[in-house]
Amino acid sequence: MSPALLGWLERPPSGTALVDVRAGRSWTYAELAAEVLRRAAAIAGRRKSLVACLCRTDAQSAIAYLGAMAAGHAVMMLDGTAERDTIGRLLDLYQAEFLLDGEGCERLRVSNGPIDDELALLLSTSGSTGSPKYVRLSRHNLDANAAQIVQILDIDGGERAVQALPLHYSYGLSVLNSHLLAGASVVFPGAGLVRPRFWEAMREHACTSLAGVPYTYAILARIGFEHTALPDLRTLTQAGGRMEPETVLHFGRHMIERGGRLVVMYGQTEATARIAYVPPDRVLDKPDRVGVAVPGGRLSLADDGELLYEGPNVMLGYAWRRADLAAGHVNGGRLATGDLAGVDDEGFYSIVGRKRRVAKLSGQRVNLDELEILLMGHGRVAALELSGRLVLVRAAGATTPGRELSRHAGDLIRLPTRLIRVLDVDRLPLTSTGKTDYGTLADELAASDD
Amino acid sequence: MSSAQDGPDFDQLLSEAFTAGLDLPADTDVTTLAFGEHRHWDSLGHMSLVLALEQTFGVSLGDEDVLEIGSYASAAAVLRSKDRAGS
Repeated sequence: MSPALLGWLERPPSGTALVDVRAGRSWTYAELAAEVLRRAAAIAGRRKSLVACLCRTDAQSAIAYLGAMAAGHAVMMLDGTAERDTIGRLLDLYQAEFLLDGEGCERLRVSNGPIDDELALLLSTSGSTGSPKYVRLSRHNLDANAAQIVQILDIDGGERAVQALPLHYSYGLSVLNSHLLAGASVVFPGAGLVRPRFWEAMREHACTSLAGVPYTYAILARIGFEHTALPDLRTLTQAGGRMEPETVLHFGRHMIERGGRLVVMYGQTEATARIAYVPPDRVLDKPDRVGVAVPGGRLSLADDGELLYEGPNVMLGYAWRRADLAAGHVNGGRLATGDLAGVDDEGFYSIVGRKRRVAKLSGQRVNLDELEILLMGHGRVAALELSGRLVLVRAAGATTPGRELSRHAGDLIRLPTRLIRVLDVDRLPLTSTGKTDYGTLADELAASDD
Repeated sequence: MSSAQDGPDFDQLLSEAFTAGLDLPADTDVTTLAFGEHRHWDSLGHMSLVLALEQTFGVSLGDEDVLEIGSYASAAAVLRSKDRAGS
């Protein structure tokens, strides 16, 4: 039986739970518990509702999320910086009863359809903010994965994490959840990594850990992180995509020099957040691995090389609309990751490719099939990744100007349009079943580039 | 020889670097922009902006410059100081 994520509501540990630097406020666990229960009471109801939470990287967003969880409702995490239209469409599609925005709380509609008893959280998997596809997670999933993370990172009450990643992103949320489970502190710095205030906040609040995606490390290398005084920093974690082994080695060695460690992890929203990790004492001799399964989980390979994971943190299933929230478990604790992997003689796994068409663009995972569907209003478009760029290919005769198509795609997946190319071809090659033939298309594009 | 940092086209060049670096429509008033106040100017956009500034002005920005730039005005000040320093 894993400890419960909200266990501190009844028995708050001593010490600080949250610090919000911009707001100039902090909350002890006792203060946080009182505030969370007050927020929960405002949306309490006999029927289980869907509560949409607009996430910004601040303490009020975290408190809103915790309040909705404490009320026993299902919570949908939305990117608070997304376009209003995008948010409105999702609220309609999922018929959310409440919308929490910072300290604000709005009742959107009366109860609107059954929600499974176990469902606690909806998280988006894709970089496309408009995508209707969400992962359904239970309280058991959240409790289990937070406990797994506490164990692999050895988080105790003395830890203070700086929250540099968004709360609507599974990795970002896992930082908050695991630290609250351990009775540790989370500091919202109120500024981005490239602002001096971020680093001042880390120093002033004695932060011991920083979680980053590969892009974070590219920024750290550019702003002279190695020479930045951070006397309390002990742990850097990295997840959210493959990082170059040279970069892993560089930061792995640097953290050892600082008397700390780099922990490389692997995960998916479909497994709440984390699936595997490289024990930090092995990071220098296994810089290209995703490592071993988190405690209580098990990794294996399917016949075709696909990485399979079993564990208590595997999602209930997906959702595309309100009606899906009534569904229960569909996975039986097993997840086909969609990643192709290999395993070495010590049982360390490495990812060698993707089974599905997912591109990593500018650090974000973009499901190319989903993007094509979202762009269907402009006619048939084939999306593919070529040398770090998103290429949108369409058959001659398309009416939308290329610039407009590229801006729309850029807005959907938050990609600068300079990384998007729109190409018009005579015709899109098709397979015998009428699907786009991406292999042939990529070959044709490569040939015409010469 | 007059360099870009003190030529009459300084503001024009700086505006173009902002538009390109932050991927903004050409008619955006960039002179009032500050980090975090436009959707495109997040940490990711910042790195792209820094690259555009380096390319446009032919300078190399150090660690501290990257952190110093937080608005159109501070970017202008950093680039002008590069010129005075003769870099």
